[in-house]
Amino acid sequence: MRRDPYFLGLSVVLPITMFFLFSHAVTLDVRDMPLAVYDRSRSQTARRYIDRFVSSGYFRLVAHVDDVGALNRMLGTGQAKVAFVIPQDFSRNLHNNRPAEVQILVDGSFPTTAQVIVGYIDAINASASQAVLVRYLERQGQRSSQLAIEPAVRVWYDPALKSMNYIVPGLYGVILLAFAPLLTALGVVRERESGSIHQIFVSPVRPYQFILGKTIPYCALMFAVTLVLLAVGIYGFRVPMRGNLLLFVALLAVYTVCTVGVGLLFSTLTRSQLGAILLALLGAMMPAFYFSGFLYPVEQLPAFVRYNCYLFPAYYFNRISRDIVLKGMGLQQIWPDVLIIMAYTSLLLVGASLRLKKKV
Amino acid sequence: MGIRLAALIRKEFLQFFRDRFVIILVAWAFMVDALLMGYSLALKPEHLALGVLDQDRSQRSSQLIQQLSATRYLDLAHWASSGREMNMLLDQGKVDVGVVIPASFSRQIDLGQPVRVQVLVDGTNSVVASIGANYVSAIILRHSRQVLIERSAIAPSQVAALPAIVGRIRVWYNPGLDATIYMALSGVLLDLMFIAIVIPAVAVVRERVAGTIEQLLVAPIRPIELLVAKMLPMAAVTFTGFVISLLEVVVIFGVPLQGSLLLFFTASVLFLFAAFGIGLSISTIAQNLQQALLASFFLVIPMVFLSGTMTPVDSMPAVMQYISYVSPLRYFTDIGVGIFFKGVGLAALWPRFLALFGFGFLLLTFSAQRLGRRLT
Repeated sequence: MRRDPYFLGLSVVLPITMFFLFSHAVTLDVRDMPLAVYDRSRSQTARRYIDRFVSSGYFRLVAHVDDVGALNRMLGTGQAKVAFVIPQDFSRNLHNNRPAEVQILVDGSFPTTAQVIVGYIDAINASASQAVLVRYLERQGQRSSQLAIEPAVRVWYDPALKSMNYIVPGLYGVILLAFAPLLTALGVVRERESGSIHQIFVSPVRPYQFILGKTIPYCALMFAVTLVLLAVGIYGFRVPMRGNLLLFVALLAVYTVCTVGVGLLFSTLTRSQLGAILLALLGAMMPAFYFSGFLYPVEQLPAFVRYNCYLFPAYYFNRISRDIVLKGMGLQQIWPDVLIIMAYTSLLLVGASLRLKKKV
Repeated sequence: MGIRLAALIRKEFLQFFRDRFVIILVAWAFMVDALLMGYSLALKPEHLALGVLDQDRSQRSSQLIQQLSATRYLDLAHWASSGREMNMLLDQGKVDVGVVIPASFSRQIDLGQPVRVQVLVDGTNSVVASIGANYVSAIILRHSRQVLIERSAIAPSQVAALPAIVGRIRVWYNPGLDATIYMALSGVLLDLMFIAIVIPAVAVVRERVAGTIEQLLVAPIRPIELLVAKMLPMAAVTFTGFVISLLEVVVIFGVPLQGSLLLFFTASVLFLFAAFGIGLSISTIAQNLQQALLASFFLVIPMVFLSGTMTPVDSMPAVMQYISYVSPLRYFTDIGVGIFFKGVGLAALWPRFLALFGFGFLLLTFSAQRLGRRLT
């Protein structure tokens, strides 16, 4: 393995680059969403209303426009994601103690973000509306001139709601499943193509010894790479580590063996490098992204996807990872997932040995 | 020359369809992958698990709980009997949002004092967490409004005339907020890129490794003819697959088409050339098949994630947004979303068309030159 610097370099550079890219590019954070306003009332009241949205930090006022056409254009080009149309009688209605309407247009072209935006707008608007009522009751001399029930939201595990804190603990599992099988299968098949494997077949090495000999260098390499990722995640990106680091590293080691095992099994199923790449691509890399709960919790996805997730080890490892990293859980809570990963790994290694034995 | 070229094209077509690897890849990408993306990366934040700790157990508290669980967004999944149990439910992921109603809830309301209801949110996934927190907050605030009105002894006939701000939220371009149609369209676009990069990269390198390119070299063909003959079958197959997968997502997921299909296909051809340019460039640099494939993955994966196909470009840090400008897929995604969902035309999209054209022109010229130099 060491004799091919290109291959070795790639196995190190590929995962690390992906880790950097994903941890920064894959973000669903809703912050500073560009907001445009067409204020036909031109009133203090309207400005205060808009201020509520801007001061929440989720929206950023980018433009005051003078006609609806401009709003449409800004939404169409993406310069604004949210547009408020405040009617002429907005402040007059409120001053006269009547309900006032506001039209709010949301760019739904990226639906997930739009859903979050709609949620914020709805909640902020509800609180603005309540404030209006409270002021009215105050003026009426009601004794209860305060908010009746106040929701006090507390976010656990990731109070800042940074999607990086969700993505990065999931990346260890995804990147290993995306690249370890690819590199392992390619490496082993290449060796077979060059014929050096026959030397091993005629030598008195037993299949399991051969498997061990094959697995260990790849495991060591991939594990080393993952440790680098872990260090970057914790110290570079400041992703918290609430649980036991040692436990996590130990489970990471088990999972590394598991993903290398996937590659090993693939390598026994095909004779060509192309076949190995195809298997790794369709059987490991794509599922790593689609069926691991990488972007969203699996529980929020359709049942068909959930069942597919159960087939791939990345799903179980990502659960372990988030439980330890974000929730600070220990072995007594996560043992079922740990057991599954271990069983999965053993099955893979036994399967690969059996297939190899047949070939010998 | 015409006959010569025709013969060459025929040969390339035959060669193309003999390759099992390529056929499997194309079929899988266009038939399966876009569907998978539509299903597996589309979040539907409904039926979030709601946990309730009701320390008041009064008529007022059960009214609030009833309102919380009345929508399809929240399902009352667990009743906690203590704060500790609520913590455990959140830890185990059995509850996405927990609501704690204090023992003094109804008493304070009757006394006219403000009362706080704790909303505990599992923040591990920021999207699900913020959506859940906002659902619950908005429901509680509305309930609070009802309580205020009730308490102030305003006649029911006057309630509708009380001051309020009514936000009429209208979602444009995707009114149902259906993430599936977005992801499925994204899948079609990125699969086109994947195939249009990998296939030329693989095909040319293979021929070089097999040495058959030397045979072509001594044949009386000009490099440009060879390039055209090589690209034609690839373009035909790739584009057919692309159209099939587009049909697939339109029929199965109901992806709407608001704008001009012709304009979209124009963009697709420009994009195809840009992607071919990338693939051919790789093939002129890579030494062997393995290098060509790994280099393709190495380029394709970041381009996919940087292009707004999976997560919006606007949410990325500024540096990443700048990097995303070098990915042709970013322009193509903007065009696809613009035409399919927004129904905008060339007036809004022309800079992206220009960018795609520029990419295709530069990359194809570059790779044709390098290929030509190798041949002569």
